[in-house]
Amino acid sequence: MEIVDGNVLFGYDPRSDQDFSVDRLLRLMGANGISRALAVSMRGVLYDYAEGNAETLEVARQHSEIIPVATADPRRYYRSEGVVRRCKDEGFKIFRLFNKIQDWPLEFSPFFDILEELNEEEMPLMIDAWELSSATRLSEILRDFSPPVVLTSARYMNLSEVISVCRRRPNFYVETHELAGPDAMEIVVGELGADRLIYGSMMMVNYPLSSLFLLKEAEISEEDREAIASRNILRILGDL
Amino acid sequence: MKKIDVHAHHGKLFVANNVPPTAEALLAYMDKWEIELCVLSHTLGIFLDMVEGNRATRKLVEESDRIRGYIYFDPTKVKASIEEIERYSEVPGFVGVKTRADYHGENIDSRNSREILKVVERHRLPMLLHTFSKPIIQGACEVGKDFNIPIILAHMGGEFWRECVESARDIPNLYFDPCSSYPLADKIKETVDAVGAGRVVFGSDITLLSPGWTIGMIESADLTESERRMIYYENAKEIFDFTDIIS
Repeated sequence: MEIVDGNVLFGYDPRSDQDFSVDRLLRLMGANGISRALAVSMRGVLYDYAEGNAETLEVARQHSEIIPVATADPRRYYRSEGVVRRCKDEGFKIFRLFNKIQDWPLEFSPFFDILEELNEEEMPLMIDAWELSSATRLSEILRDFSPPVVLTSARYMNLSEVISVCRRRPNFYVETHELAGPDAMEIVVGELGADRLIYGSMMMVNYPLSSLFLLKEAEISEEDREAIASRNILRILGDL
Repeated sequence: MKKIDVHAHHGKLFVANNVPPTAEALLAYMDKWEIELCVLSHTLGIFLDMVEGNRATRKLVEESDRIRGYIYFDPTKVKASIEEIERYSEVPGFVGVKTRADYHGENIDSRNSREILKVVERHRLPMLLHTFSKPIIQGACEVGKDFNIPIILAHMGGEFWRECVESARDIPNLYFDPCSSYPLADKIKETVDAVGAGRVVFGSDITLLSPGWTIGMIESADLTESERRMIYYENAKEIFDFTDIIS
């Protein structure tokens, strides 16, 4: 079974003593049977998204296992910059926004500007839906947004909300890095179908094996497991 | 590797979770993750009615010798909590006390909590304490110094886990249960480096979380086999004096 990790960070994390290098990421991926990973540079999350996107792209050019993910920070974003168009031209196929780490609200005009640009460029989006009501608000904010939307941070506390939102929005997906419940994956598969789940670990902030054990041990069909492990995200990315 | 789970639950939950509230379902998960024995509290006691919850725990304990019980107490109900501890402390299968003190609006070092802990200490019962904030970490440290009972810090303060380790590291009767819905990659190794593997115990928070979640954290951390054996099994065996278990 091919495993593509849909949610990975690398670079330098000032909050951690762990080695966040690309070399270690590749070692962890190899040790855990992960063939490819959608990755973002921490530089782009915590410091400067232009520098971070350049670093991510360079790492992806050097290592075919890395699928580059672009980011932007709405706290310093200007619509006139055309960031999304530029990222698309450079080869990025998906955008990841970090509202949880960067602590900006969903009702935030520069965020709406980024969404407009993503929609125009038909660029898929990954975004955190961590707090109760975040997924509901995103459902309204993204009412006219047509590219795929991957909700990260679905967890036991907001799972029923995320399922409800995804039922209303067929272009919404659920990423797994906080799906820690003993039957959470089975519930989502039962309610929405396996084609709406994307495996992600949030490695290297998180230990990789927690989410991986739950993917491997979920009581679902092998076909569903393979869809979650890689097929769904590769389809969103245009079957890389 | 076989395990003792010091942090289990049973009963219904208020979140999306379809695990049947039966001993069979719990034992099936324990089998799947090589958990030989668990110590649990009933969600009915935590979220609604302490007395009814402890009664439900007793039924479970009587159903299987692989299930042991915590006597749940509510620090806002001192007299009733003491009665519960006196009632169940001599019942076979009850091996400790558990409280989620902050859920009831109390800290564990409040006057009420201390009245209850005097009884806990007299019965020599270990305590599992829901620890998810800085005030509770500090409260646990205070009572850890004042009472001669093992205290397991469930969740290790949540996002404040580093403060938890730093505050509790020199209080030898405080133990660390790292289970959490966010499996942060530094948590286990940093804790073991700071306090030693002898102060870390395996808790899963089943049936809210899958045991595989915390097992994944422990297996991802760079630990020796001996350290993992201590965390998974030996430390809990010693804390709860599980001499009836054949090792």
